[in-house]
Amino acid sequence: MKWKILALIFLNALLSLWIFNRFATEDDIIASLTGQQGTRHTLFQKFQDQSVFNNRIFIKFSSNESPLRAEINPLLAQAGYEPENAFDPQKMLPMEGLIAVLDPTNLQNFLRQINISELSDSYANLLQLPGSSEYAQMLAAEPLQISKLAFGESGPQTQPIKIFSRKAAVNFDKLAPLYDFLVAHHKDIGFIGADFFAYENYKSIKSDIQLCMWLSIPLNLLLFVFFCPNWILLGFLLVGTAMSYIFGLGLLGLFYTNIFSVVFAFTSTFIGFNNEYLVHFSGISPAERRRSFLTLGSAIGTTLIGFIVVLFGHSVVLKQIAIVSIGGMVGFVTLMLVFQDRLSQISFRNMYIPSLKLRAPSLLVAWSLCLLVVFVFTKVSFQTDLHAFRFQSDVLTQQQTQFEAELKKIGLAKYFAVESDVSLNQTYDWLRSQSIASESHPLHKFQNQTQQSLSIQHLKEQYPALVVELQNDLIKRGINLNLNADWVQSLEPVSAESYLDLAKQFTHHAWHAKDGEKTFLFFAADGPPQLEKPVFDMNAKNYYETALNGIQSNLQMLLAIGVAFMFLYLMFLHKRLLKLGYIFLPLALASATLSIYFHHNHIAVNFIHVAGFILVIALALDYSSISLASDYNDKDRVKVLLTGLSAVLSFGILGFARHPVLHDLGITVALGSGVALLASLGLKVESK
Amino acid sequence: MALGSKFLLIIILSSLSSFSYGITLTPELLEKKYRNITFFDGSFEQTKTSPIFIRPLTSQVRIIYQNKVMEWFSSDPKRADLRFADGQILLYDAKTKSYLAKLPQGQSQATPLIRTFQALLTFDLKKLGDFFNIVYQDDALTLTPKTPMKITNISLRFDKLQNLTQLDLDLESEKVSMRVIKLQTRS
Repeated sequence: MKWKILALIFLNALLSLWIFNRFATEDDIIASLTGQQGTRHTLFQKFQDQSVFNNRIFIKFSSNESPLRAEINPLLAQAGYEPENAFDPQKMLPMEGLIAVLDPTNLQNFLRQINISELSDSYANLLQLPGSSEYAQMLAAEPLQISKLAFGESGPQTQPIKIFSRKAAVNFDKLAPLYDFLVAHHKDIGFIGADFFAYENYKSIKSDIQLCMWLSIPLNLLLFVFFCPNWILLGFLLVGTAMSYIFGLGLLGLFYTNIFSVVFAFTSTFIGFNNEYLVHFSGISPAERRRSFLTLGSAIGTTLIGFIVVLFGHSVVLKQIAIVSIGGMVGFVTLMLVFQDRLSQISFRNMYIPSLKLRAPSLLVAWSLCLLVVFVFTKVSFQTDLHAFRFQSDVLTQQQTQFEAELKKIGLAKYFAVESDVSLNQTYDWLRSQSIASESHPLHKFQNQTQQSLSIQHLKEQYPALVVELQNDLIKRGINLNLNADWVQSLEPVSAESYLDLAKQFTHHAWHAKDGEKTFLFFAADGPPQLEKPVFDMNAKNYYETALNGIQSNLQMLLAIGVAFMFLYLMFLHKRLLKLGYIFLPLALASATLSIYFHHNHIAVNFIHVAGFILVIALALDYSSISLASDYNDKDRVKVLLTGLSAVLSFGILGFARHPVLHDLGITVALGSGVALLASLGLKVESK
Repeated sequence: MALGSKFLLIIILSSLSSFSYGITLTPELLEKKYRNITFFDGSFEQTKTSPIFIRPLTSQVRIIYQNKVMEWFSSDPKRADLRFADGQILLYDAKTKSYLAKLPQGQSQATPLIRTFQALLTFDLKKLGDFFNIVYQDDALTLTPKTPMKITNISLRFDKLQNLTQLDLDLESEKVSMRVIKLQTRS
């Protein structure tokens, strides 16, 4: 015995050392939806990677004189955000890009009409202001200020949206005071940013993990003590659960280093699963071992099939849940096998569980009723909405709506991509000819190569002489600025592609991307345009919902495959169709109950519900097949009752989670497995 | 009044006067005089020196601070106005009647400078103390940044009644010296 314990301690210590600090956690599970295949996914990825929203937050005050502005500055600094300028001379369109947007006729008129004395005046005026020397030097990089020709004068602006960016990774503990302040003043301050969504998810998952751990473990222990007042069993449960965590995370660490927090929250259900294995491994005398193979095979086999099926899905989160669960199962079962002899001495509370005996006709009627409820009376819709996938408070939803309305006003709310089989500017012109694409697009001002050449010619001929004139005028006023006219000499016409790359530096936004050999142009439009060629929607919500629904379809298919495998597996174990009719009946009743629940509460079935239902299948089949395999022996049915109550309890607690993924999973499994438990124990068929 | 009494009064007044003249500036004295300033209207003669100026640039400046908005008017030789309402800086060119530039809050060079200026004019020593080491010596207040910034040194000189007489500002790129011509403050 001693060497067994030492070997287990050694193995667990090794694994713990390996998994320690191996993982980084991802709190926003929306990130799990990336990595899909196809043109839309490639374009979306490139669009998002260069999005203005990356590492930035946006804040808008109700007025410029708002006293809240002074209060928020230290909170922004503490959270690692620095102000970023919408207008920053150092980040303006570089000179070589400027030429692409200058109209040659306007440029020629500007150069002919420029009043050097007035321009010199404005430099002299500016230089009277404190701290203006450095700013004047920056302006001197393009002394005639022809960029005003392209973009107009900067005028006064009211209630501007302020941009703040961070260089380091987001720290939620430091972000918390800022976010709490923003929420407390949400009527006076508008705010939006991906960090806020991630923080809300982090916060909700953190509280959910605490709720689940602190309720699930003690309540399960109480349940255990009631059914089996033997402390050694509790010891096995606790040590085994610790081993489950170590083995589960160890197995997960072989495949992933970034783990979604929601997966950690899910591991709180381990104790519920472990209960089941422990109970079915316990109290088996050597004479019963042969029969117990059927019981244990049913308990472990169907659950394992459920998790293996999920492994083949497209969702990274569900794959991680499946891997960690399989690892957890291996860890616990290892402990059970090692201490099988000790477990055989454990006994459970004796109880009488009444049940109703079903014959083949009544079994058929029950099945028919279930099928009618599922397929005829309750028409459940299947669709995954983004809100069902991540936590979002009402305040943040309200902010998101307001911000989207602001973007809509300037025609930048919805982005699309279209293939550009000619030059990018020709594609833009074609979109404009179809009354599509907003004027906010950088290509709106783009000049073709001939016009650019003409502008360059005007500049080369006139710009240097005008700069010399300005320099002399300033010297007369006692100012010796280092005016730059050299950039004009190296000017060359730029392509639309190069121009858009340069424009990206101040629009913070990608405007074109490649998928293989094909080039695509991004543009903003009021709604999905009707064009002869395919248009790819870059709206994040639409994209993610399409991805989620794709995952859901995939999962529904896996579910069907899983049921088929479980059917074959149980057919192999139990041999007779009547028995299979009984084994699957609790599952049919659970399906009917869930259908009524979804239908009555107008809930569209999302992919988390589907994933939860896979677990219901595994549990429901366990309960009925174990009851049948034990010939409705009360000793084994007490074990089923204990494990069933434990599962209902663990997942029922998860149903109180604030995070929608955990909540949906908890409700589905608690309700489904609860009904299946009642049916498995309350009904029986002839087992011979 | 008897001659002796007059003499005694002169002795007392002159001793008080000399006591007052030799007073060392303290935070308490400044706090007493300039606590919670909400209005400031000052006229200055400003002289700027910088490598980009062949000779010192002199101009007449008026600064008004009220309702948390600071306005800076340069009237001679040319007019150039600056308006700083928290978060936004506007440079107004009276001749072309247009804004030369608009520097939103956070403009890396201008904003800390303007904020410091605002704190200086309102004598917000607590705020200044967050970023500067403050030394009180005789009739002057000297501020040096705690961490490197564009402002390298600030000096404020006061008369015997703690009235501001001179403000010197050293930046990395220029030196600004402002002699007070007229000053009015309200709490």
